[in-house]
Amino acid sequence: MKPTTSVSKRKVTIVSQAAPLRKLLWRSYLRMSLIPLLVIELGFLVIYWVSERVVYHQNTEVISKLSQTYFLDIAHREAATINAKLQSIASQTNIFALQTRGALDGDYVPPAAERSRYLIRPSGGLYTAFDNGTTASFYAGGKIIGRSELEKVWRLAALDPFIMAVKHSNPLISSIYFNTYDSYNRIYPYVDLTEQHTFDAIIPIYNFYYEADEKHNPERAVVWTDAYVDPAGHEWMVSSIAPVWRGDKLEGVVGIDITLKRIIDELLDQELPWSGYAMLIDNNGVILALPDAGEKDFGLSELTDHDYNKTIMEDTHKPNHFNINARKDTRPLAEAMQAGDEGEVELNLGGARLASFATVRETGWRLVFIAPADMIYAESQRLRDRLETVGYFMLATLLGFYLLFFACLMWRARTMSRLIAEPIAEIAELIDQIADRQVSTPFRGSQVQELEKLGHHLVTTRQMLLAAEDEARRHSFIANDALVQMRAVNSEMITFMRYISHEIRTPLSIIDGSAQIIQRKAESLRPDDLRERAGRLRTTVAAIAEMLSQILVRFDAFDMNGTSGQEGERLNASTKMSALAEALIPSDRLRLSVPETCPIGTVESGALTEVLQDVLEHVISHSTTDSTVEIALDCSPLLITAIVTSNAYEGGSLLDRARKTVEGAGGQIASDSAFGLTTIKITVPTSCKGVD
Amino acid sequence: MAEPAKILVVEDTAELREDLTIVLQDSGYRVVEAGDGASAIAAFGQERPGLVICDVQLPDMDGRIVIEAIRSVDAARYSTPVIVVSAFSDEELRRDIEAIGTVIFIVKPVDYARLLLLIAQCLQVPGHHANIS
Repeated sequence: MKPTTSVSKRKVTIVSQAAPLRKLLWRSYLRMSLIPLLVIELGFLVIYWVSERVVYHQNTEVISKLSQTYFLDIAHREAATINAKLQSIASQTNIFALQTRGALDGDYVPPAAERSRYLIRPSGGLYTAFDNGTTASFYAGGKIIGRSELEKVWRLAALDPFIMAVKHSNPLISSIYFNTYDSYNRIYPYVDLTEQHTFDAIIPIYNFYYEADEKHNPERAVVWTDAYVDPAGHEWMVSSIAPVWRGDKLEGVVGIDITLKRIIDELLDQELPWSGYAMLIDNNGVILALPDAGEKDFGLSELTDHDYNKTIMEDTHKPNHFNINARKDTRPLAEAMQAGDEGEVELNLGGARLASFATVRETGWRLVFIAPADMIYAESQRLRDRLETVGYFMLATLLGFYLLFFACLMWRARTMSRLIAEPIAEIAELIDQIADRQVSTPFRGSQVQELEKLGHHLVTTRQMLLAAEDEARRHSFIANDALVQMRAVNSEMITFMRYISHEIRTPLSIIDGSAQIIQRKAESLRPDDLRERAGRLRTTVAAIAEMLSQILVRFDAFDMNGTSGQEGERLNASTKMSALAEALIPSDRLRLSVPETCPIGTVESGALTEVLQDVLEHVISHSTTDSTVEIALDCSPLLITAIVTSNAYEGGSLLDRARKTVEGAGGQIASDSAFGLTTIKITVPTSCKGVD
Repeated sequence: MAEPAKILVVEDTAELREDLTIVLQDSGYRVVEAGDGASAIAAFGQERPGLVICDVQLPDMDGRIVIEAIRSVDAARYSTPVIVVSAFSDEELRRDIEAIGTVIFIVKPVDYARLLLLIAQCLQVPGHHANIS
């Protein structure tokens, strides 16, 4: 930027586009401290948020792994538990089959009381008429009951204690039964079969029979049926069944039914974390058991209100949408199950779900634990939320802090600019005052040491300049006064010499005239004339001698008083006093009251000038800069009185010197103070002995 | 034969006035004496001298006032020569007096021979005047 300068008479005004100090300080603060601080703080905040994100994702990952591992562990454990229970039941089924074969090979005939429970229907078939706390039996299909059929019933009655013992040994077992190829059924607990339309049933067509026949179970092992609706108990069930072979003849199939609900209920007895639940899926992908929480996820409802009157005649299996292989939302789980016996997978069941599964080896079922992902990650999410809240709080705190900090910095910039700019402006004003020779005003001071020194140095310099100027003016006045006095003396000398010339030339003319008369008329002059002329010459010479003596006397007087002291010659004290006062006192402070003329002898004038000069110097040195100085001059035939009034104190070396001076001139000086004003009265007599 | 010229001598110092009168009379001039300004002005009006010799410092008035009074009386001719004889020798006084016109300024003591020569020249050629210092 190139400033332009305009020069007035005394002031130099600089017009530039320079920024004010406050703005410069503000920019400096921003550049030097604030912006780096802000960048660093924001950088830390970004790092904090990135860290929080990383921590969150790592937490989520860890929690996910932990939860999967946990669920997988539970699935393993519970699958093993179920497997053990099913193995136990399968084992019991196997024993039951062996016991049944043994009973068929035996010749047991039950007591009469037992035999009396069995009634033969005229249209075919047989059934137990009442419950005696043991098994129920019936022959279905309009079977004509002959001797061999009755003997088989009596032989199988031997199984009742075993059957009851097995049933009571395991709470999972809902019923235990034996079905024969000719549709005989012996079952415990007792079922009132007369209430059902069972007599026309052909048992081998039911899955709990045919799945153990030669075709479906060539190994003749214990097998598990698919889930089905129990025709008697109205519940979803599975059965552990085993064939009873006598040679190559399949006599029948023993079975132990367990309701899936009991297995699931046992699973649910343990409290699963994260609102998780367990479900059981068979090896065909059909959901065997699903708790209430699962029904909501899968949009399914267990089919417990099935119309059994209608379906009793055939197998009742779960519909297709219970099969995970047929569902779109469970396809990842189905694929995972096909890929391995255990694993974990993420499902979308109206929300993210984590699923872990393990295989129940006895049946090939899959035990699946499912939990909502958001519940699993809830703690991590809460931690993240808290960290985010802390982050926002930090951001808000940071913003608040910086707003406060900005305000403080702006305030400091203003203060600093005032601290610097105001003294600089005051210093500039002082410099202008020096240039304009204005009245001295004190420097108000600065907190900046250099400016403080500069300001006071300027004030001192200005005072020195003013003092020097006053001194120069005083010297000028003195010199001028001396010049005036010298001119007056010179004038007096010229006058004196003119007077002397006149006074001497006159007697010389007498002498010369007489001499010329004598020369011209020597022959004609008489002795008396000559004597008379000689006397005239001597008288004239004596007069000249006397005149010379007087001249010496006058020179002596002149030498003593510094002036000729010619009687009758006077100076104007008013003029001299006015000039002196105007030379020493600034015009805006001076109140001068003098008569137009005030005759004074040169001696008195000199004394009065010296005294008044000392008094005025005292006043100007010790009065306030804005106070008024009044000077009044009073003339009388015998006395001249000068009165100086100001707020300077009375006393001091200058007044002492003035006192000595005025007393030496036969005058006096008196002072008086009242109401903050001091009046100094100088009295000088108008005539002195030396002049006379 | 023409009547000798009449000269008015204005001098307050009696010795000088007497010597001057002797010298002038010895040279054939008629002399009218005056010891102060007032009597000089009066004598000039009565006697109408052909020349005036006048001192500057007179007891009653300045010689310049006497000359101006003579000039006022002599307004018609304005040619009566005046020889001012003064013990003051300063140039300022000389200029003041010569400014009056038809005036010759001489500083005391006076060489009578030269004064007589000057008088003769003034009276021979009216209006002529010369500086004799």
